Amino acid sequence: MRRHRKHLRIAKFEACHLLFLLVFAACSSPDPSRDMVVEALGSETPGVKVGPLHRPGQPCLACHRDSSSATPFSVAGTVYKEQSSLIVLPDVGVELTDVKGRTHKAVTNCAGNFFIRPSEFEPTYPLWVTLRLGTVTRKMESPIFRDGSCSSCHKEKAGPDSAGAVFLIKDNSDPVTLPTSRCAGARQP
Amino acid sequence: MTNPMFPKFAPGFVLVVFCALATSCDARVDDDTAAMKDSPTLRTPDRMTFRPVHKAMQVSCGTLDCHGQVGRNFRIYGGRGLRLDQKDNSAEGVTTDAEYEASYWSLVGLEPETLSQVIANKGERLSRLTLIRKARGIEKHKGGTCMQKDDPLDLCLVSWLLGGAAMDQKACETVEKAPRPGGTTTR
Repeated sequence: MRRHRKHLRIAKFEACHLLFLLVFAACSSPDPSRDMVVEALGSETPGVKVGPLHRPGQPCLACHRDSSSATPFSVAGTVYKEQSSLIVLPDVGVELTDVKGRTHKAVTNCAGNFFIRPSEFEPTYPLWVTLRLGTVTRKMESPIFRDGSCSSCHKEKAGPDSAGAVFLIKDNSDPVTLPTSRCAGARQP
Repeated sequence: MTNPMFPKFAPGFVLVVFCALATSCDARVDDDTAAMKDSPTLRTPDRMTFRPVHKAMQVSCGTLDCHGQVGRNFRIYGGRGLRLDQKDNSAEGVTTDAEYEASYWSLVGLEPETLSQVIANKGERLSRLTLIRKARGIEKHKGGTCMQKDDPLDLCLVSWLLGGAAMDQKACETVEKAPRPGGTTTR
């Protein structure tokens, strides 16, 4: 009888232990490193609503991914006029070609942002990118292999782990008249 | 009385099972360590012929979203990827000698004993190398399958690993200069 009670106690302890682990697993994030990236992005810019114009230059897919409340994107980013000026550029055609030869075109909005939903185009990597506006064409030198957020590699400032912002013209070397943006969220000269 | 939740095994049986598991888990390590006793000097692929291999791997594996990151234990440094010198950036300049050197040791240092054994055995059981298993998609790889057996990247890498000076430089160049879809070479 005493031995039976002892086994019952052990079984109860194991059950509690299992319950604790289940609760802990349910409460903890599936990807804490991703949560740290999102937290580091900070709060919204005052005066800019959450939507297509918000957070230019940030890694869009940090939030816009599956298992998030934000609309998932397959590829998204921000295009600037020049690498040095960080003036965002609207109406730029962003042409994507994946390894299977499938293509998709998106256009930047007045905050310089473009985004593609998986239902529109889900590329098979590697993925090549070409920007076009009027007579100006800029081809990305190397393909994208995995990350659909442009700014994961193209942080605004070039550095040892960044190619700098995505830009269309090389510091006024291309003679072209470019549209200017006047919308909220856009960076102006 | 035996509790059905905790069946009682003979101590001898438990010991045999434990030893069998320990032996099977340790078999690969034993292989390498035993071989190391025979030949204590590690064999490495040829450093002098690494440059074309690096160029092929830079465009295939070393972009900033893959192995051009400090978070990877296999890091590939390069002019259009992760820079070694903190003053450099990924948009300008060419791959420096120090970056070739650092990338070489990053590759060689992944599994030095296993690599040495694979070289000594002239490529026998090549897929013991995690590098090969991941790149060929035999083992889960976040970047997916990067090469198939005997495609240009595979020929370039494997011929260098095993052949040293007899590496397939043409295969490396094919990878480096592969055309972008649409016909324009951009790599």
